[in-house]
Amino acid sequence: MPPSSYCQEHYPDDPAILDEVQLLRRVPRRHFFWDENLGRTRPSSAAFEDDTDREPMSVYRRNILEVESGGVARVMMGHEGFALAGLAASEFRVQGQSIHPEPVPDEPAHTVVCGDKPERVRKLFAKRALWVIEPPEQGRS
Amino acid sequence: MSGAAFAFESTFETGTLTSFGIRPTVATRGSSAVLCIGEIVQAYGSSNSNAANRWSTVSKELVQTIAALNGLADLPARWNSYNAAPIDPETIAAACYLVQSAMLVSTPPPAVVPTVRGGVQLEWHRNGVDLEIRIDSPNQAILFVEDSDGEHEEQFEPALGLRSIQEWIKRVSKK
Repeated sequence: MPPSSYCQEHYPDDPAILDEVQLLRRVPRRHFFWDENLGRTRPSSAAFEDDTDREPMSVYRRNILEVESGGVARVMMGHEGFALAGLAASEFRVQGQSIHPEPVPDEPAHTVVCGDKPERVRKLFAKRALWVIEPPEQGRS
Repeated sequence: MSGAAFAFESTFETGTLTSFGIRPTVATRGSSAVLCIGEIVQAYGSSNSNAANRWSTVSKELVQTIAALNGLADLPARWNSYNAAPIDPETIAAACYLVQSAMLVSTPPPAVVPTVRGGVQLEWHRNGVDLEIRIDSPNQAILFVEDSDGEHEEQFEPALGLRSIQEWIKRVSKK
């Protein structure tokens, strides 16, 4: 499943980002919960949504954070109550997403994940994501 | 907020809004997003009205859900630390209407999840069923279910409801 033509044109996949590179996404408190079926706290599928149809989802490359930016905790500064979830680049690519580096001032690890993200795909990301920084303790509902 | 198929029963766990941790002051806000809460507050204050009869017994789980929905109205832009939009009050109201009409006595509160584009997602993950109801706008919602039989997706209009919701809600409710 190739990325959409829009993504291929504006946010082409960068093969230099290896499949095993972990891509990290901040998850706000309202986007994780106890999943009784899985027996663990996991992100909601809503945590893996593009901002708009033309603004793909932001992530951070873990390898860049650890080498150049002082570790993963850097992207959590000022975001109390958030958790940090990670997925390998390959897990996004296999779902038709392109991985495009988009460094911003003060954050060379910033990257975008471009591609259609229907509910089925977002949920798959949500269930496969691993916690890099666990959610703060919360009650099970 | 009228005409819903309210399935309230006398066996509901009941209590005052205060006992549920909800301050009646929220009813004074002007947006439609708090109509659910406002209606409850008004009903508790007027014991002889039809509204009071309708709301005289509500489940703790339903009130918790409505309170969680109400809380979404306060989210500022970029609440997810990226570029999330504030949650549309009309969409919150649609979600509120939906839970009132669909939740059963035995239904645990869903995870009430704001969406990046200003909508609301209600999620239950129990009894081997993943049930997600995504309300993108007052006129557009999607039911997404996954269980051992596979996946099922259905679009509907929140105000009109969806017959199959009751069946799925039953599946994630306490046995």
